[in-house]
Amino acid sequence: MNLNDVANEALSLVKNEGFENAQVRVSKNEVQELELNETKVNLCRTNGGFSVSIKVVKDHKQFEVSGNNWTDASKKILIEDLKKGWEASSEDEAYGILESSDKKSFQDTSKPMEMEKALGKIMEFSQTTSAKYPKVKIRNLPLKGIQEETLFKNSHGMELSQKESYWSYFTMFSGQDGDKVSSFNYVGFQTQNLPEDLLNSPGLEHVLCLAEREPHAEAHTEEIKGDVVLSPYLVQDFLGFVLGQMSTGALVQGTSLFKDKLGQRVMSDKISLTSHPMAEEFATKAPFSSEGVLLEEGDLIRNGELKRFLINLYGSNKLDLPLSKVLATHLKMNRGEKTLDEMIQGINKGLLVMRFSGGSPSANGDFSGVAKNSFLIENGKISRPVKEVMIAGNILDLFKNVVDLSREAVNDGSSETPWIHTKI
Amino acid sequence: MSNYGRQLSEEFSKFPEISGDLEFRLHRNRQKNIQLVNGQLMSNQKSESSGLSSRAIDQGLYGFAAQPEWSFANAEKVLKQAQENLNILKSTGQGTPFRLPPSSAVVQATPLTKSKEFTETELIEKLKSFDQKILALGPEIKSRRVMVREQSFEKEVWTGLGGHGQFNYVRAHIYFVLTAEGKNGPVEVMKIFGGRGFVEDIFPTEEKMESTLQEAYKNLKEKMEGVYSKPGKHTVILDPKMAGILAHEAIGHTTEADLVKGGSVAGRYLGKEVASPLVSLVDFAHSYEGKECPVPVYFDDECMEASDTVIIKDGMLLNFMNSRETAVEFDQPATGHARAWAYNDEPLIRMRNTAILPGESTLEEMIASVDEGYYLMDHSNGQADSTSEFMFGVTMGYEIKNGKLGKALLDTTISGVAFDMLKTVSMVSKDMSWVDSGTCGKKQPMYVGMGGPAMKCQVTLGGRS
Repeated sequence: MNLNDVANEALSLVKNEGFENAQVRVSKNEVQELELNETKVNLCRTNGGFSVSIKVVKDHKQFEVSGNNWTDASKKILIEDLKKGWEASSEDEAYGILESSDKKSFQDTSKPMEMEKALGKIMEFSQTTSAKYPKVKIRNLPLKGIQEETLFKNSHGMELSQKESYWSYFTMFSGQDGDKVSSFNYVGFQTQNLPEDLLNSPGLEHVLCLAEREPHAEAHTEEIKGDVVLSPYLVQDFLGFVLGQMSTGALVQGTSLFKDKLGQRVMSDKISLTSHPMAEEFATKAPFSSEGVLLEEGDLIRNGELKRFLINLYGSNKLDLPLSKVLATHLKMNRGEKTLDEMIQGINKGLLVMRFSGGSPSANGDFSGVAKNSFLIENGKISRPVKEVMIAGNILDLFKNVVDLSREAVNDGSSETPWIHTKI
Repeated sequence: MSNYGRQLSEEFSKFPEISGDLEFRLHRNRQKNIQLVNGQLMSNQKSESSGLSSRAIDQGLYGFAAQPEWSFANAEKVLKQAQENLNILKSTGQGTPFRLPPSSAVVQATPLTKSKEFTETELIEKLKSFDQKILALGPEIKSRRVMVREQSFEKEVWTGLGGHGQFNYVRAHIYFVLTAEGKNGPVEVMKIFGGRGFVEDIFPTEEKMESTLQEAYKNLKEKMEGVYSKPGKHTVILDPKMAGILAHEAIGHTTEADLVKGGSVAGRYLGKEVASPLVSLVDFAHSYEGKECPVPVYFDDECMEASDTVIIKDGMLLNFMNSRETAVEFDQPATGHARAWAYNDEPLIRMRNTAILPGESTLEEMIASVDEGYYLMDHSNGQADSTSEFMFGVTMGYEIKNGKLGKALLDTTISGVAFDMLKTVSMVSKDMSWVDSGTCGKKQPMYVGMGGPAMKCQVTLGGRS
């Protein structure tokens, strides 16, 4: 199916219905997947995918439909739904289609999805891991080779396209020693090329090393106060709440904790957070947003100061704020001077938290939950694994109280994050 | 609308011949989302995803292929590709001889119809009218959101061994969230209307709307003055609305046979006492006491006829939840747990309607029996673990002091090790409450039902000392 034909036909169909102001996003992909379950690769999958999304704005009313077929019958249903939905929509002068006629094409070097080679890599991973980490039980590892093509067009002549291929995988595992089992843990990655050695993925061996010790974790019911070291995976989880405060949604709702904080310090001055949508070191790229904004590299946080809100077209019109060309995608947090070991050496008593399992944060950023796959830090060393550890605090305070960021960082293919030493 | 209840194959041009141990599935998911923020329509979308897939099975290995368009050419393509993918795996020599139970259930779906029909305009107007009622509640409300989500799922599955099943399921929910400024910063309260059916079917009556709004407003004002729970282990009364997520997260996941194979501690406890004798837990396939459960499943995507799985009876762990393959491995029946979310997903072992069975106490006497503890009413997200340690967020609860309810709690989280915590269950109420808005996450999403009575037990709470 030719994406350009679909996009042109979609714009023509809605124009015939009286919608002069419209955008179409159409994409297709092919995903080949192999999944290791325990010690056996027992699933081999080939999926074809297609999606088309059409948005119209007319008389200050808006509606959007999407589907994954482009047959005569499905076109008819999409257009009928679009007409009915638009009719029912309410008026808001903030609705709009980006008035831009940018034309750009982004294409990475096409790489063949060598599935037989990938199969060998997974089997090698399984064998090497079980030999090197006998007390780690790999629950599964799905590995996907993904080829995607996206085209974005609108009524103003905008034409943006992207074609990329990459590999995506994650592994879930736990420590197991006799009848003792640890909490599960998982890490995931995206890479441009099939990794030569899956076990050599950033930070993976470190996590597996720790997992080997975890089956002997003891329950720790004493309240945790003070120093904690958060893994990069966990820092990313907590960042999600922070980024939400910068979003159009929270600002329009009036619930953003940052609504009056632009240009002010909202985190420790040790932290800078920048978006790099086209960075070479990331496996995937994000050249344009879902509404056709060409994305740029830029600061979200610089030395703890809030540099911008993440404003989409609706938010820009509604709040009379500039449309953001920097979004919360492909983020890099700056690194610190100390290594992880050096950070830990400076802690007399604390907790190393690898994963967090907690309830959704409160509107004010308060959180509580279980510090999973965790280790006590005593006298500057990782002393012993602990379990059933409940921690609580406030997410904004976590980032304000940062003591150090590590020199090491994990690049998972679409973000780069260091370890953080902070206090709760 | 009239399509919900027809066989999908009526819309399919020509059906390919299939034989052997393979599945062929037509699948369509639809979703409608509407969001009003402070009275303004912020989001209004409809989406559909449909396609066909095939899975070829041999020696414990699975070749799968899917395409989005229902055409005879695509059907032939996925059947061929699935077999080729299976052959790739077989060529590695990893396969082992396996005799799976026959996947030959023949089940017809019950047609679904709407009780009434709203036009798109009528629905938006009704939501705006509802939003105005929220606005009128009081000046404390600083922000409000009203969201509608309607999801429908249709499947038709054939197996090469003679199985054929049809499945239709529609659910709709209206969520509303109120935000106010409390003494410790912003606080939120969320309530939900809904269940099985289209949005027209679940739209609340004026009376129901009013009582729920008043309850939400009361809860919001209480949370504005709310206190942090004290961290540590406490005696709690879990409201019936909480029992379902306990059944699902704390026990259900640990007894899914694929997770047992992956190291879940439940593997060690089969046939052993894991809970107080007051605790019995069943994953119901489709009916409870003669009525359909929130997510009635009569067959699964392997074409196995669905029946109830008794997981815990009077405190004893009796069964895991199985697919065809794990049923052989654990020598237990396959009772219809293998379900797929979308056309391009493979069936995984999933819960259907997981519930703790009612006991004999009343909620009032349970609260009265606690000198110092907490009454926990509403939950947010939850998670399970291979150790049977569970957690879930608590969004509404109260202190209990000397058998009486005290101050409202700010949001907190509870956790525990299921097979320890279940032994602390000392009272179980006569109530039975089902929750049907949940979407379970395990590689794929999945609609699930959860239910149970009020329970008195000991769990660990997060909070501030």
